[in-house]
Amino acid sequence: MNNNEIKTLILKELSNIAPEIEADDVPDDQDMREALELDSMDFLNLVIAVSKRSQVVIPEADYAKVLSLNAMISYIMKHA
Amino acid sequence: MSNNEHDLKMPSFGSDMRKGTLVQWLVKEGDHIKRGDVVAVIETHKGAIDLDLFEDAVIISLLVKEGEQIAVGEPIARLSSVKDSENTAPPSTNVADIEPNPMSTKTAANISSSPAPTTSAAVINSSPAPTSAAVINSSPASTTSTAAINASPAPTSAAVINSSPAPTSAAAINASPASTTSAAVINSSPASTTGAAVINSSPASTTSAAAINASPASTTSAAVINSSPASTTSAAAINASPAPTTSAAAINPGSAPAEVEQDNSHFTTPEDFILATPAARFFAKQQQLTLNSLFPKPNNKIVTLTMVEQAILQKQLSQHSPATADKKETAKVSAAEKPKKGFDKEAMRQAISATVTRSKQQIPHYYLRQRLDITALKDYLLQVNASITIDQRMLLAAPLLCAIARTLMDSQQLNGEYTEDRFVASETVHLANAINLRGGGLVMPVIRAAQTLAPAQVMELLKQQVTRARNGSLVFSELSGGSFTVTSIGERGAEQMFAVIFPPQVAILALGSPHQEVMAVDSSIKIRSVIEASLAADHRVSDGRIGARFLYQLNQLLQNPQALWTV
Repeated sequence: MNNNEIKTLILKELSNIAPEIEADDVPDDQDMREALELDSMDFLNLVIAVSKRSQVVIPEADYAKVLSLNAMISYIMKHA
Repeated sequence: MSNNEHDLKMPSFGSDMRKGTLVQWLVKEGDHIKRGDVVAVIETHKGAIDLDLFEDAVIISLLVKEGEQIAVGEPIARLSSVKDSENTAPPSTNVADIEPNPMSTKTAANISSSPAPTTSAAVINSSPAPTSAAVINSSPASTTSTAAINASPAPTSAAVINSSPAPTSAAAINASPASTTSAAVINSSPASTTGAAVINSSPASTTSAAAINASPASTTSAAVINSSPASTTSAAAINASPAPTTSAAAINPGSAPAEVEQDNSHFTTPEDFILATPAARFFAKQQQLTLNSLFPKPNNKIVTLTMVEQAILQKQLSQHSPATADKKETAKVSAAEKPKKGFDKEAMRQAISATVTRSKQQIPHYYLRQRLDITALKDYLLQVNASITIDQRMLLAAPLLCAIARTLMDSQQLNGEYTEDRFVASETVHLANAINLRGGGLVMPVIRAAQTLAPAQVMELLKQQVTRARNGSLVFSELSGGSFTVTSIGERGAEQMFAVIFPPQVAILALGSPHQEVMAVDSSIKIRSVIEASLAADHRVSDGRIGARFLYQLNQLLQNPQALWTV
């Protein structure tokens, strides 16, 4: 998977979790939870969905490394 | 617990709700409703919400039309409870289920039978009741099963006990004037030591039947029918194969013709009359089928509900008839036509406003703050989460809610309801958990009997409730009957929050965002993960000492997180 594919995948899962969020609203480098009003349950659901789709399991201890869209993309690129 | 006919009232979704509009009925008169089935859609200022039942019941009549606006507490339908098996063995189990919902319309308890109850009993005392049925299905090792119906004027009465291995079974029907049909059936397989079916029916019982089907080794079986004047048909049958030690069938008729036969007896009945349990008769009627069409040749058996179900199924298979679609399918169809659900944000704002205003005006709040040290809990949770699959992963909220619920069991004065100038403690913890809706508003779905649950179970419920809260599909029973509320500001919120008590509850715990702090621990300086917890409680009911003890005990429990994973 390349950078764009992973980005598409994350955005798609994000819109499943919070349908009112438009892809354009998602900032590249800001904490998604803050910017998009995601609570811990939303974020967990995002991690579960992205881990399943990308086959890269994001352990709880690494949550701090996947807080923004770009950070999550590079984490998956690195571990794929 | 014992009366079986009662009103279904317009429920209150909150203390601020005055009336609701019945948007749609999803059931019709005569329908059998299972606990949890949605019976109606009700429009309130919180949006359209599904009204589900807390019990198994039969709809006797619908009292209001779709579109009518009804005040809270006014009857909207007449129900007849169908009592299921009752498990009295472990008193701590299923307390939640028997607890009638205080904000709802009062329901009889429905307790699912768990393995090995020592006693099962269903008792119905009903006066004028069109249909009474007591059914006990108990498998492994119910030592005693009794079903009793005391019904005066009751056209139809049935007591059925299906118990496999059950040492003692008894079904009794006492029906005075005008019971048209009475049936007591005991089906007990292996080793029923005692089986007894008794029907006492005075004037004008048209049909009475007592049947005991006991296979291997029923030591004692007895069927007794006492019917005075004019019972047109009486039958007592004992089908007991291999060698019961004692069998007795007695019919004491007033003037009725009677025949007693033992071992696969043949009844004397009118040519076209089919003996059936009322439940079977009722179901057949509901399906718009006559028993004669299902069982054209009367035989020596009493038709049971199971037999009717099977007969209908076979008929459907052979005819592919859509006319006999069962209730569930009908419900599905109507569900598709349901009005759009969800929470009306504007109306919800008003509702929250009314509730907190009333709370602050009427409830003398006192506040206590405690710093909860969650370092041990976080570490333990990290280990647990690392050892399970990703979709079972738990949030901190799950073990925290478990800890709160269990600690509350020791703090009666914080857990319950204050209504009509009186506090009533709840015997179990129905934990309302405030969920923030994106775009504004709060909903507080309830986790019932939360003190009995393990973190994984709480997590599963949280997931479901958050999903349903977000798409507006929470049903009434999930939103009502909380005995205590927990509200969390979340991971990106303020360190501390002071909450407003949600009446008629008497306390609320607000959890600030988890964060790290420098703390003095055992005379040295440590960095610990903490949550500032603040309790708001009703001073009419408890004093600060009670609240302080609760917070202290909660913090203590969190220092031993393994304990939370054992229920």
